Amino acid sequence: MTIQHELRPGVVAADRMMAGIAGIGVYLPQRRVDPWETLAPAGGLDPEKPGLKQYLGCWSVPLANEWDSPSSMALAAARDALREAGIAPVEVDVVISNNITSDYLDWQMSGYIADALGADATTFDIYAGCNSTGLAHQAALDILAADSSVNTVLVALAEHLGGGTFPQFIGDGACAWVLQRGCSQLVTQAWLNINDATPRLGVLRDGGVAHPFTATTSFDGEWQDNVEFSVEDYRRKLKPIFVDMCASPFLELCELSGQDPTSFDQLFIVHQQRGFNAKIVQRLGLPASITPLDCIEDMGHISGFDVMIDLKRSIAEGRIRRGNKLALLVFGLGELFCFSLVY
Amino acid sequence: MKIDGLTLGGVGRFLPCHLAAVTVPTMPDPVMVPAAGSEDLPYAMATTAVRDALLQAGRDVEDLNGQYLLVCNEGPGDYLFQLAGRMVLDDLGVGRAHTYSFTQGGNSAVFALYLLACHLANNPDAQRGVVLATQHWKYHSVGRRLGDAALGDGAAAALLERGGAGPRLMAISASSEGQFHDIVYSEVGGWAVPMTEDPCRNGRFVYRVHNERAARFVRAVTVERADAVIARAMDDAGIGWDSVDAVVLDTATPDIAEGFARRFPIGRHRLITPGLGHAWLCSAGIMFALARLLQEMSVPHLEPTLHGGSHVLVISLGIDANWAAAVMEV
Repeated sequence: MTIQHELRPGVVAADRMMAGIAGIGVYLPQRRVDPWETLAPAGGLDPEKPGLKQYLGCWSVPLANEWDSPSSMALAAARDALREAGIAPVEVDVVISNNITSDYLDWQMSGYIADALGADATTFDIYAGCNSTGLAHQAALDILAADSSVNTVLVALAEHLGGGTFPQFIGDGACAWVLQRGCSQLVTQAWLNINDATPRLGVLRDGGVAHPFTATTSFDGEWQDNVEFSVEDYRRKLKPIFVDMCASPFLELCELSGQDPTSFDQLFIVHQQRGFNAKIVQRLGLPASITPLDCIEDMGHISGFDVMIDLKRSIAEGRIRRGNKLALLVFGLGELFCFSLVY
Repeated sequence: MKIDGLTLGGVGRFLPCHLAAVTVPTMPDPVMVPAAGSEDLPYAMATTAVRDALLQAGRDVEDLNGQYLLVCNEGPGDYLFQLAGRMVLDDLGVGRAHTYSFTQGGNSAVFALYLLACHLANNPDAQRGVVLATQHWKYHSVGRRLGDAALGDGAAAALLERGGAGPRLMAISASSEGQFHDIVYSEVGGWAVPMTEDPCRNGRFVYRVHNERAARFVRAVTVERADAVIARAMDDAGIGWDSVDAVVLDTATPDIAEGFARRFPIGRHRLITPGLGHAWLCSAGIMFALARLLQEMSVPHLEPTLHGGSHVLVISLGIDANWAAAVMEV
């Protein structure tokens, strides 16, 4: 386990200036659906089951229109982020995107975005799911800390898996944020990454090297419809520990960095079911009001960058003030992150 | 970026023992490439390469706990949509670690070293990291061809460590040209062509060149574009061309190698082009080249002759429009 303490001045001397989030951009498709009418039936969810609607806590989900590609959504979010930051594209040195659900597999969405913006930037794409938010943010922070020639990093992520119900209502959208050397807002003070051996619950049997596609391959739907997932293994191996698992990065970060969990003003958590997120907060011994559970109501879960969307929204709605201490709890594909920031 | 205190502990490799013949238009004879057998799955090859790197460095698998493993993501792994690094770490028996896969194109090991160096610079608790690339192209390429390259199978792992007695990493620089983002990729599996039965049954789930015009353009200008990246790396390392003793240039294209030899002031005998006329192993290729170079450095009658204090320039460039250059002192 490792933890990043507050950037230590003097380790790389003058290069170790603070790097804050200068702007956050969001793109959510205008098309919205009632998940209980549109998504719940396919997911086998019974809206009449007592307490279920309240537990999921989601009433509206943005779903991509036909023209909303991952790259177009990410680009829109990137423009929004740069506009909010007051930064010209030419100032961007590095662009980081994600590409499990990009326009094409193994495609350089980051390169597309850099080109579309007119940025002369080094680009790369992180191959991950919801955890790409944590990985990208961590990579951006490390690049800025280590490479004095880099002053501005743009993270632009998108997800286009909406319409599913596993195990929360899933929407589509994109989020981008700009980290800039010398920016004094939303400075990451410390972070913790937990990537450990976890139960393997699902596998897509065909398509990889072990069982390649052939001329007789047969399946319905798309790849996400064909993942062989063991519900039994989930219930037996993961469900009993999942709340603790999701709460652990925050607790470990606090312990290792000497921070009091109750000293945080807001905690942003990747959207799961409303009831589940409330359990995480309860497990942390914190009041429910510390996390904006209501943000799940009209978004569902899009990706790990739910936390950044909620952060932007909280700033816009005046839920947080300058000087507030914030935490971002991100998890996906078995990997967990916690970042502590000061607004 | 200038780099302090990081050395190459070892470069582990795995090459299958089978061969396959690939016809490449720019080559007079078929290129013989290593071809994975039925037991040589990507994760298994990768695990072997990592173990090999650890062995060279005198390290145990436990020494990867809490450390870094970065995976250059090109070809598919054993199964799709898995985090290859985590799969390999699980197979090795490593617990907590920092690992992710990233895509930059088809030749990103040097850039991976840059990322790893950034992570290690900012994490005083970590001592080492691995850059890993594993290749298996029998089922996910067009006849094992990618542009001028004949794709081979295998895996390589470069272990970078804090301190140590191995070759010292002095500087790395990188650049990209976003307008060429659509040259190589897998058509099927994203938003544009969802992974449904039809394209998968009809052989479209392959990694190949899609934008031929852009590929030709990049091939024509890639040496010129490498100029600035190389200059930055050498500047950060504080060396000039007169101090460069060997250049490792991983390219499958004869014109590129010739263009490089014409453009830069390095004698032809000091230019090492392992990919030329041989198998192309994408990001693993340059690590193989590095491993071979370091292995041969003590053999005096083989040119280039390297000795302690020699400077090696390692350059990756390809048709994915990303360039990276690293300066090492062996």
